[in-house]
Amino acid sequence: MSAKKVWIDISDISVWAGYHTGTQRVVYQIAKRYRGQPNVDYFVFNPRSNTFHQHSFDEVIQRVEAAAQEAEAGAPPPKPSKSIRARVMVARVYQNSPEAVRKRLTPERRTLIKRVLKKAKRTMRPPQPAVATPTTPAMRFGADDIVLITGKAWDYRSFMEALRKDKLDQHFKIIQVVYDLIPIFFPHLFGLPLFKPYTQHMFEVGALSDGLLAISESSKRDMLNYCKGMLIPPPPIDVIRLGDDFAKVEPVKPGIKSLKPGNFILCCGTVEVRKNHQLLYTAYKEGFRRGLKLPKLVVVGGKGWYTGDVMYQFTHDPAFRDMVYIGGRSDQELEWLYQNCLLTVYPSVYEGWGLPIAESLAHGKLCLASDTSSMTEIAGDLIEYFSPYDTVGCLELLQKYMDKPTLAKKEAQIQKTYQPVAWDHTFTQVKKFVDKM
Amino acid sequence: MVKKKILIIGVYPIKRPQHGGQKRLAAIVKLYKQIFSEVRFVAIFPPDYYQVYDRSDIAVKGITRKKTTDSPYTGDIICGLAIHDDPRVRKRMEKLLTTFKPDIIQCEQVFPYFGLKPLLEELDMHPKIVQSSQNIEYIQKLEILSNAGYADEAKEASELIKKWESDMSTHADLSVAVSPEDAAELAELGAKHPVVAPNGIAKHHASQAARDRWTQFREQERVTKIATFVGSAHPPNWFGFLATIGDRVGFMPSDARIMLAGSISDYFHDTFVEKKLQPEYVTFWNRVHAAGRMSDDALYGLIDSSDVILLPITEGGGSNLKTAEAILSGKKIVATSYAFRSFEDYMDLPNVYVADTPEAFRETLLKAFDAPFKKRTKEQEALAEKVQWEYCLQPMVEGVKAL
Repeated sequence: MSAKKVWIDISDISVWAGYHTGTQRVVYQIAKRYRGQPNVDYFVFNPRSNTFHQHSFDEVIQRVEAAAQEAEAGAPPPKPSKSIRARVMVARVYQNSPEAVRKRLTPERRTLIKRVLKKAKRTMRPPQPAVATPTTPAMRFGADDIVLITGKAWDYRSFMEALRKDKLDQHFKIIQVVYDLIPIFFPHLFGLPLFKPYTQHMFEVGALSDGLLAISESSKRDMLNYCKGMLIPPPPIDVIRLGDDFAKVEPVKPGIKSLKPGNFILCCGTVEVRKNHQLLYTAYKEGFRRGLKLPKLVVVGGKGWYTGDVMYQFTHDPAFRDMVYIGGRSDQELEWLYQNCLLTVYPSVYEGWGLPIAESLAHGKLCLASDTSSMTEIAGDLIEYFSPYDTVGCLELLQKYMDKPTLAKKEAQIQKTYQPVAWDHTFTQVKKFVDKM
Repeated sequence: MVKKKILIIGVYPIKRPQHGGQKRLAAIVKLYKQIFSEVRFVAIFPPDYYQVYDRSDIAVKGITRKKTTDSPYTGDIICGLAIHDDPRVRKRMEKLLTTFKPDIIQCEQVFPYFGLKPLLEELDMHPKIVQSSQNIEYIQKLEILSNAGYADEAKEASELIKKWESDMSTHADLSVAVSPEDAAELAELGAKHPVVAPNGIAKHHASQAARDRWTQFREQERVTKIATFVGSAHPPNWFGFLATIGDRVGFMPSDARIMLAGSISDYFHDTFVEKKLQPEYVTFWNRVHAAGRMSDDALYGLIDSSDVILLPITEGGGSNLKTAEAILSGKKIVATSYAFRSFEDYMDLPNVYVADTPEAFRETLLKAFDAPFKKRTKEQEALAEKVQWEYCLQPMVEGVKAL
């Protein structure tokens, strides 16, 4: 009789050629620590054939390490052009559309989409060796096996259905990481096409999993509420704490002359409607109206959902000539920004965790954050909060910490108290849960 | 053959019966033709809702037709009144009545009586009248219109129907109800000795191809448990489904599916849409499959392939053809006790599970999926056979024979 095996899903990072962010970082950090453990193997999902394939994790590690070395050497992070991103998006939409929808497309449109798809495939070839296409035959998980999914399986529309069908035959166990249920409970904060696949995906996550690992008490609560609402008997759920002991990198000052140590407030995170940059804009405007002299605002993050209006305001409002928006940035630049900001601010409406808060604290910097969802779990009373709907509340906190002794005292307290969580600790939590199965 | 000329009038055609009312009416006409010497049927109906009909049927046109499309829940009232008030319909009915000269006119539901009574008076004709009810219509219409959000119209329509239902109950030579409860209600309205002829079902056998289709479905979808609900888009059907099973289907195992057969699929398909941004509306389809309208053969194939037949009926008058179909299918049944009105004797058959609250209904469905199938005894088989039309309609036939 063969021993039970732990299969780790690395689909997300097997096709990713850039730096890891968000979920990819979680997948990588957990998968890396499982390497060398007995009875552990890795797999990827092939959405074209709806099959699972054994996959080498060594290739992924080599690629990631090579990228890290290049970055150390000062190479810019690989960043696809806008046209490539657009093509990739079209390709993803087409590939993930149900067969019925594809059939409804007129032949002309289908030809056009296929042409775009073809181009996208060509241009999607990443600078590093790709591992997206499975090189091994389709496999079946064994009856005693555990399938550990830590990534964005929802990106593949047929992932859970393929897993469901296999599980019916093989009766293996499934453990998944639950990041958040925001697209379900706050659909207005995302693109509408995400609502249905994400909601249906999380339904099966609840229904098929034998255990769940939520990344915060808030996400656990949300998952339990969702299961209750959908009448799904919830599987056991534990909470894990994500690591924030990021690898140290040499700081590099972004090429913006006006940026000087200590003359700016930093707001990190994708510029999307959920992150609530509008509140920052309004708080600053109110500050200006009150005659306050506020530090320069530096917003760092790629452009996301529904922020055209606020970006237009930031860009064209003469009062914000001093504001700096940085889209893509390297880890080195981000390091410099964290080290040299006065404080950070995170006005997000809702989060599954809230990594920028942890990052800020790990750099010994105060973060003024929203008081909703998981954001209060990261540092408790160590930092200060405002309602993401309270402009004046946010402004008053900013004003409070413009007082240098007050800020210095808070920073000293953070530096003394805040202990970054090691990924080893996260891994221990995951492994303990998996081993219990 | 009993020598009688019988005219049956309905408000929908029966050339290709789809919903329960059509099936009952078609069964009555078929049985009468085997027993009585001359039997004719005419439907006065809205052509926008029924596309298949016989030449002898009368599709309403012009203003009357527009009224039926403007007010889809009252098409039966409009068609009934048209017998007297619409010159074109009236002319054809006059011709039919004066040339055929029926001994007996049987009105299926009360609606044809609205126009028939004044027309007969004007023609000075006095055939025997049979009131063949399917529901207590004034109550049913009040429920349907109120639930559809037409409170004012509901009251008005219900009062009009009640007036005619009372008149017909009082003056008909024979009143027929589909359940003892309905019979008591008709008696209350003035009917003398109403007889009960419950709904029944015709025995069918699915073709091998139809059975194979659903076997293939099970294999492709890796589904091992199927519970089927057959129903039209008639509001009580989806009210009942939502009141028992509900719109949240996470209680269903991942290898189980609820199959919606018939036009009830259309209701859920049109209502449970993504754009409403309700999680239960999109996840509903994770465990429910809208099989849609289908041929009788495909339907019987589906029933054959099902593990459980669902009867989530909580309202509506009459007795349910669905119940008879379920009993005759021999499958496990999960039903409300309301669904077994006038089939009370069958509730003790093996594999019949009854639950009346949403929680109990859902739990019972899961229990039924897993419960071992029990074989019926010979007596129980014989009892189940009695749900067929020829048995069920016998009291009606005897009553008509006696007129």
